[in-house]
This record gives sequence, structure tokens and C-alpha cells, in this order.
Amino acid sequence: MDEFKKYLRENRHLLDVESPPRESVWLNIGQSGSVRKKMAISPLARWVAAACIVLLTGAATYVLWPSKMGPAAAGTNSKTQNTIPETQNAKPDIVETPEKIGWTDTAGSAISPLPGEVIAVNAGAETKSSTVPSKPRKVVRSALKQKTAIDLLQENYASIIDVQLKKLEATPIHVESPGYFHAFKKQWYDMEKDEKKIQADIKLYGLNDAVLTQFIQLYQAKLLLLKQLQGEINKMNNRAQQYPQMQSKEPSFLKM
Amino acid sequence: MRKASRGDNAARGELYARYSQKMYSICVRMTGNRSDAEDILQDAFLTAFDRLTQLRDYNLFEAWLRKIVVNECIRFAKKSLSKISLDEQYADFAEADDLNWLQLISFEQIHFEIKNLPDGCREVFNLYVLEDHTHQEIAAELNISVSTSKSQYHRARQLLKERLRKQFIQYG
Repeated sequence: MDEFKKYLRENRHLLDVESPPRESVWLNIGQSGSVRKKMAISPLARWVAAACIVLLTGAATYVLWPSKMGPAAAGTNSKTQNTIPETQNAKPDIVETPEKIGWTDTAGSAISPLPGEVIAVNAGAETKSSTVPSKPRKVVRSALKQKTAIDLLQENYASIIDVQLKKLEATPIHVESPGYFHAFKKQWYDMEKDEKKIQADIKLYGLNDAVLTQFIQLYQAKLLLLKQLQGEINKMNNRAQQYPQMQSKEPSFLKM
Repeated sequence: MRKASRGDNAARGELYARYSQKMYSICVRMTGNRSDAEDILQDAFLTAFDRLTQLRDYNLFEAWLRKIVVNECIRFAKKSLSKISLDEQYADFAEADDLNWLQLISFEQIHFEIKNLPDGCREVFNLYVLEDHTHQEIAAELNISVSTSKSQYHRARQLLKERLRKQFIQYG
């Protein structure tokens, strides 16, 4: 190292003597930052809200609904049923008949239960009501609904991420090589690992508030990362368009 | 730092206040003018705030931010250097570096003279001397040859020394 370079390098920190930039620089940063923040959140808010509503509805229904009725309860119910006026919705005898698919009541209307669903046996015979009462179905359906809500959440996010990822991987990069984005890729791989861990936790411990929050936050972070990466590539390509001599001979493509 | 990564404007303002002057000096030395330097500073801070969640060790924030700023400066330099020819060759004269006089020159003056170097050699000088990039790295970053990088550095060094010496002789 020549002495001139060495002297300046050693005293580099003393060279930072420029007078500060104008106030407008920070104002622009502050405004742009809040706009970017707004844009980053709003596209996800709809999905997050929908997923939360579905999950909370399922969880509330499961928790608040009376416990499932078994055969013992069915006997008690049939006694009380006789005292109930016909006009009211009577609780019918309830028997689990998983094999009775397509079973019809005496009125002749076809009843197609869901798998594992509980069917009213005497509803038609008593002529209390020809329609199959809906309340028993909800007891079983709420448990199914809760399970499918989690799957729904995963599927919804996965489909959005998939769309973003495909768009990203199809965008040609005209200026830098894909290796330039290694920091983004590393973060992506770390998030994939975190996702697998959370899925394993759900299988082991079931779904709770903390895990659900982690799940949603992880998907939000993944989408934000893809958006940032796409923004970075677009910015570079725009600059390349202005200055064609900067462009690489062959465009490259990113593979996440 | 955590608050800033979550988008807290006050926390970001604090980071900006702490580091902007230093980073701005780098931008001014690289670009040679305050207006372009402000644009680069703005872009660099926006990028840094966007990517703050990627930074694992907050103690390395300054070095990390500096890297972002320098990368933004390089991108800017690529644009401006593409319009000028850097093929001039400057002989690498092995000079005896008698630099006692240099220590009598203020750093404000040195900073001023660096930022007033001509386009091309200014960027190379900053990257080679102050940011410690090699000529190979500079050549790849600025899309020039290694020999051009070396010759531009020597041109910058020659000019800088002459100008600083004049200052020293004139003002003592």
C-alpha cells in the first residue's frame, strides 16, 4: 500500500466533514417509507382478515356449541320430544349411521349426510318435521370446519406466494447476475425452514393463538420479501432500459 | 434498531440523524456534487430500512449501511462513466512518497479536493483508497478494465497531490 493511500485510509473517518444534506431528504425518506409500508400491508390485509374470520368462527362454534350427543342422550331426547309442540323444531332421536348414505325419511326426500354425520332416525315417522334438523350436523361440522380452515389458510397463502414466485422467476434480469441477490435467497431459505418448523409444531401441539400468529406473520414476511425482490429487479431493469450499454448480453433468470 | 425494522418512523429518524452525515460525505466524495449525493443518500436509506429485517447483527449496522451507500454510488457511477472515455493511460511513476506536508493539510481540504476530482478517476480513487476495493473489484463494478482502474487511480493521486501541494504552498 503506498503511503498516500495508507494515510488517507487510516484517517478515513476524519474525512466525513461534508455539511449535512437538506431537510427535504429526510422528509422524502419518511414519506416514501410510510407509503411503502402502507402498500406492503394492504394487499395482505384482505387475506389475513378472511383467514382470521374463518378460523375464529370455527373455533368459536366448536368451543361454544353444546357437547356432542351420544346414544344415551338420544333416549332422553325422545322422551322430551313428545311434550314439545309440533310447530317447534324438535330434537329428534339421534343415532350415528355413517353407512346410511342416501337414506330417506318417510316423506321421501333424500338425505345425503356428510361422512360421520349424525342423522335423525325418527324425524319422518313422528311427522314432526320432514326436514332433517340442522343442529346436530353443526356439532360435527364445526370440528371439520376448524380443520379445513387451517388447510384453507395454508392453501390460500401458498397460492398467492406461488403466483408471486412464478412471476419473479419469469422476470429477466438485464444488469446483474442472479448471484447478486444471494442475500434475498438466503432469507427465503431461512423462511422455508421456519415454515416447516411451524407446521411440525402444529402437528405436535395443535393450533393455538401463538402458532397461528407466527404462521400468518411468516407468510406475510415471505410475500414482502418477494415483493421487495421484484421491486429490486424492476428498478435495475428500468435503469438498464435508460442505459442500454449497461445491459448484459444475455438476460438471466432467478431461481428461488 | 428493532423498532426501525418494524417501521417506527421515530426510530428510523434517529438512525438517519446518527449516520446520515457520514454517509452523505461518502456520497458527495463519490458523485462530486451535493444534489446527486442527496438522491443517492435517499435511495440508500430507503433500501436499508426496507432490508433492515435481514440484518442479523445490529452492531454491524454502520458497516452494512456503508456497503449499501457505496453500492448505490457505484450504480450511479456506472451510468455517468458510460458516457465518458476512460481509456487514457497514465504511467505509474514510482514516486518517493514524502508526505510530511500532507499532514499539515486539513481533512476538510482533502475532502474538498477529492470531491472535485474529475469524473472517472474520482470514483476509482474513492473505491480504491477509502472503500478498500481492489482494482479487480472496481473493474467489475464499473465495467472497466483493471488497467483502466489502475491508471485512473494514478491520475487521481497525481492530481490530488498537486492540488493539495498548491494549497499548502499558497496558504502554508
